Amino acid sequence: MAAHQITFTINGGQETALVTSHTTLLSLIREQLGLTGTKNGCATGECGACTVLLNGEPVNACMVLAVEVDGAEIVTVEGLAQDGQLDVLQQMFVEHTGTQCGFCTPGVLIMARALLDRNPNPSDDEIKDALRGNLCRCTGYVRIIEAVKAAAKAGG
Amino acid sequence: MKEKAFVIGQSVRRLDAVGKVIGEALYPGDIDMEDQLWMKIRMSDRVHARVTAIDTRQAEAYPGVVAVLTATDVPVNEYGLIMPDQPVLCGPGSSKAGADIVRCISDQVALVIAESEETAAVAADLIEITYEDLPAVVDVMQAIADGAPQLHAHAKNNVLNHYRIRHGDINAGWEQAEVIVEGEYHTGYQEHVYLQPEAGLGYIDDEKRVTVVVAGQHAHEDREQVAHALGLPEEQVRIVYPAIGGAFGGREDMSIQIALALAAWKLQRPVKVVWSREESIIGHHKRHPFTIRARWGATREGKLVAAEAEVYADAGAYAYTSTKVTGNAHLMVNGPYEIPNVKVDTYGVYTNNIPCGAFRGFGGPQGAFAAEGQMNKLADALGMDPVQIRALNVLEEGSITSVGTPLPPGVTLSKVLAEGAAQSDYWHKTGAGWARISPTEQPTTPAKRRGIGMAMGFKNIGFSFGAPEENWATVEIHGDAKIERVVVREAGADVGQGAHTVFAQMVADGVGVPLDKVEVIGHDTAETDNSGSSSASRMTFMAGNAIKTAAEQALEKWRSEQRPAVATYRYVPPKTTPYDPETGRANPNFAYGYMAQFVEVEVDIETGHIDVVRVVSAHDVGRAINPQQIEGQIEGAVVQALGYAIMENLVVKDGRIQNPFLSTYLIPTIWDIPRETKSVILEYADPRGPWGARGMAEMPFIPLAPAIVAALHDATGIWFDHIPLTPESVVSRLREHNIGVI
Amino acid sequence: MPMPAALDRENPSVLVMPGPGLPAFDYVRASKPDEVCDLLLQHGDNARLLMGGTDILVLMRDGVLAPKILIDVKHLPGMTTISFDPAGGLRLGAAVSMNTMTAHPAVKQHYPLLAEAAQAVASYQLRTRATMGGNLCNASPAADTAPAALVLNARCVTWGPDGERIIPVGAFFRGPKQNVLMPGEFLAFIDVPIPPPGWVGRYIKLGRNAGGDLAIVGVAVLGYPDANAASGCRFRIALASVAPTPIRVPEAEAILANMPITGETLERAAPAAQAAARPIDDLRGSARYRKAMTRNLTRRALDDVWAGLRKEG
Repeated sequence: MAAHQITFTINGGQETALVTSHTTLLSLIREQLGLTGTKNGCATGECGACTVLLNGEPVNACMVLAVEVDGAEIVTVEGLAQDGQLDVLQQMFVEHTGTQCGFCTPGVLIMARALLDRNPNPSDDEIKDALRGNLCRCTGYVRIIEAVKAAAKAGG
Repeated sequence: MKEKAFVIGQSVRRLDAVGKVIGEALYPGDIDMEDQLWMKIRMSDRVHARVTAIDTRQAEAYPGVVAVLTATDVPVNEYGLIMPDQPVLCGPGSSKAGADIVRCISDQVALVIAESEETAAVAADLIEITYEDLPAVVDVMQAIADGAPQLHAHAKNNVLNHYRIRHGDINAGWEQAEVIVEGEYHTGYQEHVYLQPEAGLGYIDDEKRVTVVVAGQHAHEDREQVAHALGLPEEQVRIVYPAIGGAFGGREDMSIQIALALAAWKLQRPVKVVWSREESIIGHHKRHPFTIRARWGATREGKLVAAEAEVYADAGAYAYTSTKVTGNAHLMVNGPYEIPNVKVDTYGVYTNNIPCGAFRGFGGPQGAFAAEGQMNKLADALGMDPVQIRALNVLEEGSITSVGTPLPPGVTLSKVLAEGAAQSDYWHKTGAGWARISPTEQPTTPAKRRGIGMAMGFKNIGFSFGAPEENWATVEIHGDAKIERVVVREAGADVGQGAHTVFAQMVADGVGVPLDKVEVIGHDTAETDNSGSSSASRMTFMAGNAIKTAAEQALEKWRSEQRPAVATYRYVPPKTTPYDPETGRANPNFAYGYMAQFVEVEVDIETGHIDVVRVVSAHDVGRAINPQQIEGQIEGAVVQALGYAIMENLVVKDGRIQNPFLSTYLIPTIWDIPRETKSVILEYADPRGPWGARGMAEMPFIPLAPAIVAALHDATGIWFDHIPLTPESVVSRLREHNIGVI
Repeated sequence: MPMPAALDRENPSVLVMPGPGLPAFDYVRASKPDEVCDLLLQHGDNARLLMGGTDILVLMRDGVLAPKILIDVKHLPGMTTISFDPAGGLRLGAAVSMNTMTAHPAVKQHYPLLAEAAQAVASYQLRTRATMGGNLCNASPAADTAPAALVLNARCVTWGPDGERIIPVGAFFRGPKQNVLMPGEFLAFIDVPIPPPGWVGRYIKLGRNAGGDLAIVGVAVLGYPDANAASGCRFRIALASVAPTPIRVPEAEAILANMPITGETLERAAPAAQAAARPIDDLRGSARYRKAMTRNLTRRALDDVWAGLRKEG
């Protein structure tokens, strides 16, 4: 079983890790780096709880091999706040109760961050298109949409 | 002098929101300990069989495996919330007779504990289990028939429980009836799909207690179950809940708790388990499928005179909370209406299917599906407006319910109905009573039809039928000259609904301090007393009553110079009573929430897809402690109920779940939600509620399915008595009436 | 390699309890096409290609497949490149992600049907990784991009021990989850010719929910003016999820080419599509429902395309 040494940037800091071929990006993030903000809800790309940014694009971390991120830049929910200042999306999720049990929240926030980065002023339908792959069982999504809209309005 | 209330009624931010949005909140699966081992639970491969042998040699010899535990390792090999009818581990040589039988596929047979998660998983497959198959029964009607395979010695013909209502004179009722409607209603399974699958850690703490870190709904009940199975005094067991990733009733029964405790206790080392999504879907209980045959009669003026029902619930292989769930359905199948003559027989039935238990609404949704279906059919048969017929029949203060007693004081059904209808924008009150403002406007596309419908309901708050009910809270006021800090110890589980934030608001108000001075110490049995479970929409009501008095008493002590000023209060609500075995007469509950829903749907008659366009959900919450959290509960419950009504279709064949994946068992995505959900929050104080508050979290779930069915009837002229209303089932029902796809 | 039916998520018959992670394998990042061919020849079914991984990693995690080697082909020359030539058409590297494809100016302008089909797949974050090449190679009857590829007359450009081979998409599928690739051969590019002038396309997908489900039925229709057709128009119709492979429906296309296009003609073409459907029962829908939906969705797609053509014309 081959091991691979990989170097990558995560939440702004450079890391080196030794991974097996079959280590997923999710397991690298949660188990090897101890960043447990990224959640595992299904391990097969169906719930969105493990969504992270890979070179600026959202991916299901359970569906990416760790070895593939050699040289890449990764952002997890822990990397959204800058210098202790919450990202505007995080602020608005707090403000509008966009989180209940909170297990889907990290993935939703990452997905919404990616959306606002490419489309600073999304319509309701565009928000729904972006978040279609993020299951939430608590909120009924209403306040999630509200929070994303409020964040966009506040300058995203 | 107490400062003025400045936090009750305010949508303050959740205490845990920042931790959750920055990824710092820890859930059970996020917690590791040095030197921890990993566990894999081997479940049964059969639906009904005697386990004659378990060969663990290969698994034990596998490198990295530390231990394999089976039935012989369980000190008291039984558990169960209502009755201990399920073995912790099924297999021969057990401490309990009959524990060698597996009765469903989620029965646990062996625990493999290893140095790594992968090793445990591989070794679990190496265990060889020898079964002697027993005849199985997976259909409720077959299960109660003579000659059916028997699951439990205590349940003749597999009947776990049979409740009766014999109220008034049913024959006289039929004689008075000028219109009679009948229906046979079928409701399906529902899987909780809390986003966080079961996970946890067992270890021995500094005080030598076997400790389980897990997500649950009632830490002290978990402790009791674990202590019983391990044969330990409760003081030697500790349960700790970190952040809980959703529950909805699905974490009320045991899943991994006892297994974790057993492994940690035997090995005296930390042991962790994380269930996959499919282990979660297979491994915990479901909402009960029901079959309900109902026959209701009314006078030409629309007054209900008779109601008869037979109610059958598939309990699955073990009791779980089925006696209580069916108890609720037994009451709610008669609707929140005054009916002088009622006859109901309700059965909870064991089968070799997956066990069923608590799920938001707890028997209410199934009962209401039939009751509201009957009410809507009656309105239709009489040519009456559905709001008007309800206004004529709803229970008022002092009205006698079908179980022979009035509801507790503070009955507001007619107010909820009236204000909900008026604010729905679909109905108005005229001189002649309630009427639709205008007929439903139809889309121009011929394939689409629109309809508007409504339903209402009632739901108990707190434990029912004489079950012990209590809630402990401790309030500590710290400081010297001035109050510096107030601590509340309250075990009530914050499963995501925001209970801890509401507790803090109530303490802040009770003591008269700003919210930021309040600290909540929650769900750790070593730090708190029993609060009961986060279920039955009871936590605001029960914890609130305990906190309110504890805060008052602590404040007294503070004023008499005690430092710190500490008061503990145990709130016990008015007593309830079980159903009389012959007549059903009871005082079933001490508090209720009341609700009505109005929905607009669009159905595609060519594909069967139902688009829930708009939902207006009206609730008497007594007092909205945190209005934004209440709206969050309404919006979330509506979408969960929408899933239940039209989408969520757990396919179980021969006792085996066919779709234990999120790609095959679908729950609503963000695209599936109503285009608008309007919350109508009414505040008619419950005289027994803290600050007047009632519970409300289950209530928005309950009337939605029958309201959707009523709207579908408005759209198509056809009644749908089966849920879920999957597109294909809608198309085949329409086809029977030559609509859409012929 | 056929899927063992017992482990198929759509048609489960036994309980699947996979381990916590992926089974062990070796990851190889290929830099030359020949290297890929050699590894495939050498290891046979024990070697699999990795592009987006959104299908194979699920199968591996479920324990359905356990290849010993995953060959990452994303770094081969051209595999993630999109090029467009107004004369020759579009060339998509097989490992171009669906999101990259959808956002590409040439795809947006000249092949909106491809974007529409790709956007019907799962979720945005999955499409960051999922590829049209993988979608076609998996040869799922439910592949959303397949009907679009079929009506666009796309061609699969493969690389193998004997060099390049060009296979029309219509000849690429062999059966459920089976394609015609030979030992050592892999998909390198998808070529999509310039569609006929004035064309209008539509992909309609029916799932069990409003978003993300696999197709119960998928219908792609492409229509264009053609003076040589008796009706003045030609339509191409392709279906997903109603036959062992995605299929074209020449019977329905013939009706539309030969009769003046009226509501009645469109009404007659839809049952022809229904007749061509040979669906199975599974968790998502019965064969009977699928057949009926084939007719209804075909009719809707035809209506939309015909309305578009009239607007253009």
